[in-house]
Amino acid sequence: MTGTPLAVHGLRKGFADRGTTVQAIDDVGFDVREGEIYTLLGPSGCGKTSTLRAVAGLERPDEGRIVIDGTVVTETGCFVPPERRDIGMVFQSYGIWPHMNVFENAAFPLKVGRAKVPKKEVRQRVESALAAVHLAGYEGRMATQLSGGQQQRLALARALVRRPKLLLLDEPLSNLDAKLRQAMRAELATLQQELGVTTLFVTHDQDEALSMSSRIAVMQAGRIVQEGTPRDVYQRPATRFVADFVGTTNFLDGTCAAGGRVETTVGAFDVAGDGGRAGADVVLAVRPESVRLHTDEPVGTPNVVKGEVERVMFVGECVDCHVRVGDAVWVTRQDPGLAARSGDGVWLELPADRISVIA
Amino acid sequence: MTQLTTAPAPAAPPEPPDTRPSRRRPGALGVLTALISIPALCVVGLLALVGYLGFRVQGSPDGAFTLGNYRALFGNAQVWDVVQNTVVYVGVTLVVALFFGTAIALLVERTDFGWERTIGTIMVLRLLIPGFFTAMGWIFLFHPRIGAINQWAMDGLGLASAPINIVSLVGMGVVEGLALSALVFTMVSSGLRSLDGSLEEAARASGARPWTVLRRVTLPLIYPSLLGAGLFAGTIAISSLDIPLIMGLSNRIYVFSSYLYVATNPSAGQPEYGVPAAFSAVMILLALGFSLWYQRTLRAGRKYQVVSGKGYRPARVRLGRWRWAAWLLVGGYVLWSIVLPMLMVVWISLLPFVQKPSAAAMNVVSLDNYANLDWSFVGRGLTTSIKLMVLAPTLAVLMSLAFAFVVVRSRSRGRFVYDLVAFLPQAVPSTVFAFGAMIAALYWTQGWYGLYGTLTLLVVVTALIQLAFGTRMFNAGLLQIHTELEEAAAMSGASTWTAVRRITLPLLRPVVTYTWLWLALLSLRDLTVPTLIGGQDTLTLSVASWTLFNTGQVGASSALTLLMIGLMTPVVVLFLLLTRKNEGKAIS
Repeated sequence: MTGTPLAVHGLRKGFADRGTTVQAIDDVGFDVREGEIYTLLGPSGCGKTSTLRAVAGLERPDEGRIVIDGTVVTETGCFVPPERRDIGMVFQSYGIWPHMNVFENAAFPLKVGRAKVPKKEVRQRVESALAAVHLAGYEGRMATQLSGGQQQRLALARALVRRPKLLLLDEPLSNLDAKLRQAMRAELATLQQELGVTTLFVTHDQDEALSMSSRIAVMQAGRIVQEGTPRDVYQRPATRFVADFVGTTNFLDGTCAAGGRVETTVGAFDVAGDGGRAGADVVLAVRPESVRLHTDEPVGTPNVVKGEVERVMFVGECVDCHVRVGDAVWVTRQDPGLAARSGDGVWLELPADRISVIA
Repeated sequence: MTQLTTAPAPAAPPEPPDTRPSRRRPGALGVLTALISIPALCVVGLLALVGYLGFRVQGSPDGAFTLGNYRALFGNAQVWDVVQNTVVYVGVTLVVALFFGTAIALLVERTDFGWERTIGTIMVLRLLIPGFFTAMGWIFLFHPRIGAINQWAMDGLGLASAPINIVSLVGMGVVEGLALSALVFTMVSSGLRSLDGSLEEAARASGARPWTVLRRVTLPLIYPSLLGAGLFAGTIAISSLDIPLIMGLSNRIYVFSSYLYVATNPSAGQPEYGVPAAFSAVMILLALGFSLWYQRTLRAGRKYQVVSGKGYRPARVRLGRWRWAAWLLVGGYVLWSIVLPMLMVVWISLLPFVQKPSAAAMNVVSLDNYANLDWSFVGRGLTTSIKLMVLAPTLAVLMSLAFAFVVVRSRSRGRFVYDLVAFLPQAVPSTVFAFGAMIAALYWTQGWYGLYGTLTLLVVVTALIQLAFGTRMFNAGLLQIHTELEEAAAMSGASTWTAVRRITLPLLRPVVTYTWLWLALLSLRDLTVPTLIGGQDTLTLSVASWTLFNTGQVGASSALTLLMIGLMTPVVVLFLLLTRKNEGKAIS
């Protein structure tokens, strides 16, 4: 029987905490499509890991239904234990067994599974899995002699050796140093694409989520608050929380006026689309890199507001120029060649199509 | 302890623990929980029985209700003497043990004294030397009549009476304290090792001199370790029978353990169980009270604990011209606590009767004591000892593993209860357990299932008492095995039992081996439980040696004790080889 690789509906899970119940997962539902990387993104404690562990079967949800490839694995009165689910998982700490060598680690799923795999096939499959993660030749090495990045790849090989329908990744990159993390991001995404394995990915790192995912679900307090492609989530955040959590954002409270304009305390702005019902309170969100900075007052350009440079921070590939506008300080991202200094008067231009209107 | 997890510390803030629990293996854990409720009920049941007997006439289960036992405990002059004696004896023991244990631990961990490994090994050996062995050695050194040093002092200085009387309450305390300072040493040095060194360096950088740092920072911070070591040492001093029997019995100085033994095994007349039961009940209450205090201290300590993650040690204090004093302390300790008593036992084992080393005595030195040993008697003791040494730790390890799994891996509320129950045999003197088990077997088991005085009873009681140590070791071991290692097995399609068999147990194996060997050695040296359980079947080598000593065959007793040490040696060597990297781990 086939179907969506993973369908989750109405998932709930509460934990008793000093008398009260904390809702760790609060009515979470999503469908993962064949071959995609679906990411649960959110701050720690938002319920993303609990959701992943419920899918894995490491945690029993209070309510809800989980279907993996057409097979119901969790439903009221039905719970398939983790070892009988068609999944592979990479843990945050990798979970590489220190008392086994590389080959034994990767071969373990084939040896303990219910379907007996002949020895010869075990060898072949382990070798090809290790080759896929560039660990060919390391078979006899003790697992503890591997570097962090190698352990991570071994964990991936182990998760894939059974050719599972679904791959679960629980913050697999968070234990690597920054440089290696960058490299592994690309490697992981490439490998996933080559194998075409459907993947559920949990992370709190927005860069990881944006760069690797097919679709992202942003979670907050046990709920999914926005689901969409990385571009959607970044450029059109649905809530203030999403805008704030994913990337840096300047916020501006305002009121909708007629003709796609929004009135704010520092002036009125044109926004793309109709801008919402007149009189409604909205929040405008603008990414730092969307703000154009002028050292001379531009003529005839709409959506310009005057400010004063507070601080210019050089961060390498660009400068973060903090500009005071009214009571607020805006963060803008500019070319490192920017000549402005603290105290200079500048004009900020907010292009209408780069402003998100959050109701 | 080897690092069993393979991952570096996570860079991301961990999820709050409440979001990660699970009831994922009710099957396996349910079975274990049901299994361990049997030993748990035994532990609690034995203590409850002792409490109950305290209110019965003569301490007989079918006796009438009475408060007379408690009145006797505090009213009868003889019994009240025992209470006072016990307080003095334990007090002296603690002062000696805490002083030597802490001082040597500080020298090793915080100064440039050196010899870290050697001292660690010596202390482990000291823990394993049977108490009656050093007691005998000290008697041969300082007994007012037969003690070699007393005799020399009287001859050389022309004294009318012996300057030192070791067979006194204070003497017993000193000897017990010297033995238990090894325990204090291991606990305090592991406390010092887990202390974040930057706290002390900060004090030094603030201008405090080494003594001030010690007084104001180090000692307050290791207070929980000191308290734990003190309580543990105190409990052992109260329960151990060897030193009170060997040093106190002949001149009728009784403390709790020897009183319990004498009252329940009178040379004439009816055995008395009521007053010992009442006395034991008071001990149980004290033990529970002290344990609560200890737990609260630990919890309060955790509030201030600064976790450094790395084994970071502060710069060592240079001893400089005080090095000789440190040598005097350590060398003196080793000499008086181990070397001289041991030499004296060897010396006496070579003589037909006790006499101080001299040229004349050299002429009568022979191996007669060894040759003339009653070998059938020794053989019986040896067989029992070996059976006990194999069976008790095996049972204890199996039970402790089950307890630890439930305590560490289950999420049920009941796990705290099991944790507490497993802690009881450490908090309550083992004498009390042996006493309760003896009565229970005497009154409630007969015929084919009669347990009184059998090896089975001895093995079970010893294993129940060892449950405390085993569970503590395996709790720590399991906590070090990251749950993700087990979850990864489940993700690979392994059932719970397969995961335990293929992942958890192999990872725990070093701890299991270590624990088994240590418990085996403790079973061999123990005199308390076999003596109290008392019976033909329970004649271990320790009991045999004590029996010989008690019947005046001092030379033979010394010889047998040395044979026993010889038997222990291969196991000790194996133990030391296996734990070469972490001697200090013992016991703490």
